[in-house]
Amino acid sequence: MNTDAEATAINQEIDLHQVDSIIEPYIGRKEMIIPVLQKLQEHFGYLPRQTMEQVSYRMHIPLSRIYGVATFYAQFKMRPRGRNIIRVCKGTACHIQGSPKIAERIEENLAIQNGETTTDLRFTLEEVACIGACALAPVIMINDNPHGRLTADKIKDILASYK
Amino acid sequence: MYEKHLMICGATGCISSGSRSVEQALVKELENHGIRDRYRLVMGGCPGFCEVGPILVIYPDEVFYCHLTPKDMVELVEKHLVGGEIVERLLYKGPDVAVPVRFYDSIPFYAKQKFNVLHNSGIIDPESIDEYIMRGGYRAFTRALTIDSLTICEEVKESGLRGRGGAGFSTGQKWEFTNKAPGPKKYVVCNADEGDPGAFMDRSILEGDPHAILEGMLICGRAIGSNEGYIYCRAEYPLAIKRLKIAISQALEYGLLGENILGYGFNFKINIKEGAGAFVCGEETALLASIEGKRGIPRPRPPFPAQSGLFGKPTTINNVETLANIPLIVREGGAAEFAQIGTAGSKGTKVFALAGKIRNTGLCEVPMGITFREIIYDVGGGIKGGREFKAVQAGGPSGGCIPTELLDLPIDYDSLNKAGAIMGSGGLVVMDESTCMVDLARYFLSFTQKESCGKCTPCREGTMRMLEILNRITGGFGNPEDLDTLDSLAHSIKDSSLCGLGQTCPNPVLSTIRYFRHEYEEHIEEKYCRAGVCKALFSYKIDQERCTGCRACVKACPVDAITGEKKEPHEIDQGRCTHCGSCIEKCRQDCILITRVGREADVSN
Amino acid sequence: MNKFIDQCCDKCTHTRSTPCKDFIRCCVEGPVCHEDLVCSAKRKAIIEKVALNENFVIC
Repeated sequence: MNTDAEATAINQEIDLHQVDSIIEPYIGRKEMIIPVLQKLQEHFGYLPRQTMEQVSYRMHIPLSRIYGVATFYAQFKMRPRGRNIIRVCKGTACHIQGSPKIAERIEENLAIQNGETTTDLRFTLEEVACIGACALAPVIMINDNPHGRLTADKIKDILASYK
Repeated sequence: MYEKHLMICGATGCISSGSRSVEQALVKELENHGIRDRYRLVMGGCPGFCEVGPILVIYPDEVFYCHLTPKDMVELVEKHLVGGEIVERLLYKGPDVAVPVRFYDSIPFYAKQKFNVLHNSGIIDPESIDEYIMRGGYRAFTRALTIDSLTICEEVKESGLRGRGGAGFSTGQKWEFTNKAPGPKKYVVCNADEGDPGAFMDRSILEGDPHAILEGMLICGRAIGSNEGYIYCRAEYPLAIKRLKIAISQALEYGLLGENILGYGFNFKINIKEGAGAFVCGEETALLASIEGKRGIPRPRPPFPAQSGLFGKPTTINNVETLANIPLIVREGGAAEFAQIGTAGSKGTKVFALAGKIRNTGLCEVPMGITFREIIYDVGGGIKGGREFKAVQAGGPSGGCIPTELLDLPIDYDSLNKAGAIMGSGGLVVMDESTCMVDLARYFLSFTQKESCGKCTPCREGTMRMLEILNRITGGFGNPEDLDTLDSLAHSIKDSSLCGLGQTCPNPVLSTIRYFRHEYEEHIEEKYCRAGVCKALFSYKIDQERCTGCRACVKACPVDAITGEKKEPHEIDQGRCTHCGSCIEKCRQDCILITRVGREADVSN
Repeated sequence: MNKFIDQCCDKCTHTRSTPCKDFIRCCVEGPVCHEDLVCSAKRKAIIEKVALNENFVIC
C-alpha cells in the first residue's frame, strides 16, 4: 500500500461538526450503525478513524464494535480512494470470458494490485463480485461508466481517458 | 391520449450498452420534429434480451428494435414515427430466423418463455403506481384484507410455491409457522441481497416492477400478522433502491402503506436497508444480524427465524422473486392457476439469468420442468461462435455444473439436487470447450473462501485448504492423492458447517470432479490444461501451415514474444510468452494452437 | 384529475386519513360509491392516456 495515500489520511482535517450532523438523527438507535457508516463514507469518501471515534462517543457504541462492523463489510474503506474507481467485474460470466486477463493488464498498467490506489490518487482498483452486465462480459466500470466486451489491448486507451 | 408508446429498456444491462444516450437522441429527434408530446416515452423495465440491447419497443405497432445506437434515431423517427414505415435494418435478425422479425412473438428467444413474474417488466413505467394498478396491481392485496390470515397461508401452500432464493422451502408453510408463532410483534423481510456472481433476476424484478414486491410484502404481513417489513437490498443496485423508494412513497400517498390501510384497520410500514457488500448476508440469519447493525454472521438454527428472527421476533424472510409471485397467487383463483404450471414438485415459473458463452445472454422466465437443452438451445440460441457445449453452471457458488449428458434433465428443485447442483437463485452460466473446469472450481472456491465470514472452522479453514490444493493443481504441482483429499475435505465442510454458505460451497468442486474427473487428472498427471486457461499447463504455438503472416498477433503481443516477417509464418518465443492470450483474440486465421508444454502441437483449439 | 389518488368529485372521500375499502376497484372500474358519468369519464381518461390495450401483453 502506498505511503502518500496514508499520509493524506492522517493529514486530512476532519470537521467533527459535519460528523455530528450526520450522526445526529441516529442517536439512540444502535441498529442504525451501518447506515451511519454508509453516510459518513459517502461524505468523506472513506472512513477516517476520527469519524468512527466520534460515532462511538455519540452513539455509545464501543469503538471495537464499530471497527468490527466496518471491517466486515467490503463496502467500507479505511483509506482514501482515488479520483477514479475502477471496478473489475469478477462475476462468473466475466471470469470465463477473460476478466483475469483484463485485471492483470490494469495492474500492469497502473502498477497497483487489487484494492490499492495509485500514489497520485488517480485510480483505485477494486474487484467486485458481479455488476450484472453479463451480456457485455468481460466488463469493467470506471466510476459510473461501464466498458464492456473488453479485450486486454483496449485497457491502455480506456485508462488514458480518465484524468 | 398518446399516439404511440415508446418503451426503451432502462435496466442495468441495456444502460451499460448505452440505452441512456439512445433515449437522449430519441428525445432530441422528436423535439426536432416538434412531435415530442404525441408519444409516451418510458424508460422501463427489462424485456430480458440483454444480448441485443439497447432495445426499443413501439406500441401499438408491435415493433421490436434492437442493437440501437444514438445515430439510428434520426432514421427511426423519420421513417417509422413520421413516415409510418418500419425500419427493417434495426429489426431482430439472427441465425435462428430466416428474415428480420418485427415482434416478440416471432423471436425464438421468447417462444418458450412464459411471463408471470415479469409480466409487467418492460410494459409499465416502474415509477408509476397508476400503471401498476391498471395492470391489476394491489387487487390481490385488497382481497387479502378481506379474508382470514390462515386462509391466505393455505392458498399459498396450495399453489405449491417454493422459495425462489435457493433452498426451495414451501412458502405457505413458512408463513404458517410465523403466523402461529406467539407474540404481538412480527416482521416481514425481503431478501434482495442477490450476491451470486452471474445472477441478476432479482435486480430486474426490483427495477422493472417494484410495486409487486411491496404488494407481496403487504400480503405476507397480513398473512403472518406483521405490521413492519424490511427490504434488504444490495448497495450495488442503486437503481433498484431508487425505484423501491419511489414505490414506497407512492404507496404511502395512496394509503396502501401506513396506518389503517384502506380502512381495514391493517397497518404496515416498509423500511429499506442497504447491504454493505457481504455475500454471506444472503444467508437468512446473517441478513438479520446485518439489519440489526451487527457483523453479518450466521447463527445456528433452530430457533428458526419463524420463531425468533429479527430483533428476536418471529420473522418471515422471502426472496424477491418469491414475493413477486404472491400477488398472482392470492388474487381470485390465482393459486389453482399457478399450480397448473410446472411439475409435480415444483410449481410455477422460474426466472433465469443466462450468461457466459451463450448466444442470447439475458433474462428469461420459463415454466418449471423445462429441460436444460430447451433453455440453452431454444431460448439461449446455442453456443456462441459455433463452439461445442461443455457444461452449464446452475446455482452459482453454491451450485454445480450440468454436463452434456444431463442436458435433457428437467429443471426443477428435486432433479437439480439429485444432479449435485441446486436451483439457487437462478443464474445459468454456460461454458464451452475453452472453459477449464478445474479453473472454474478454483474460481468459485476463491469466491466463497473470500466471502466466508470466519465464524466456523470447517468453512474458514477448509475452503482455504481446498483452494490451496486447487491452486497447486492449476499451477502444475498437483499430486495424484489431491482428488481424494479434496473429496474428503469437501464432505467434511458440507457436513459440519453452520450455514448454507459453508454447506454448499464445496458443490462446484464436487460436481466438477464428478463430471469432469478426466480434466483434473490431465492437470495432475499430464500437466496439461486443454482449455488453455491454466497458464503453467500449456504453450501457444502458431500453426505454420495456416499462418498467413498478417502480423496482427505481432502487434497485439504486449511482451514482443512473436516474431516473423510479413506474409511469412510467425513464431512464438516460448521464453518470453506470458500466455496472456492477446494473440488469440486478434488472430483471424484461428492458427494459434494450445499445446502441451514443451511438446509439438497435438491438440488444436 | 391526473392520478388515481385525486378525487373525482366531492362525493369521493378516499384520502389517507379517510380511506375507502373499494379504492383499488374504484381506480379501474369506478367510481364505485356513486354513479356519475362525468366521474367515470375522468377515471377512464387516466387509463386511456397510457392505455395498455390487449396488444401490450407479450408472449
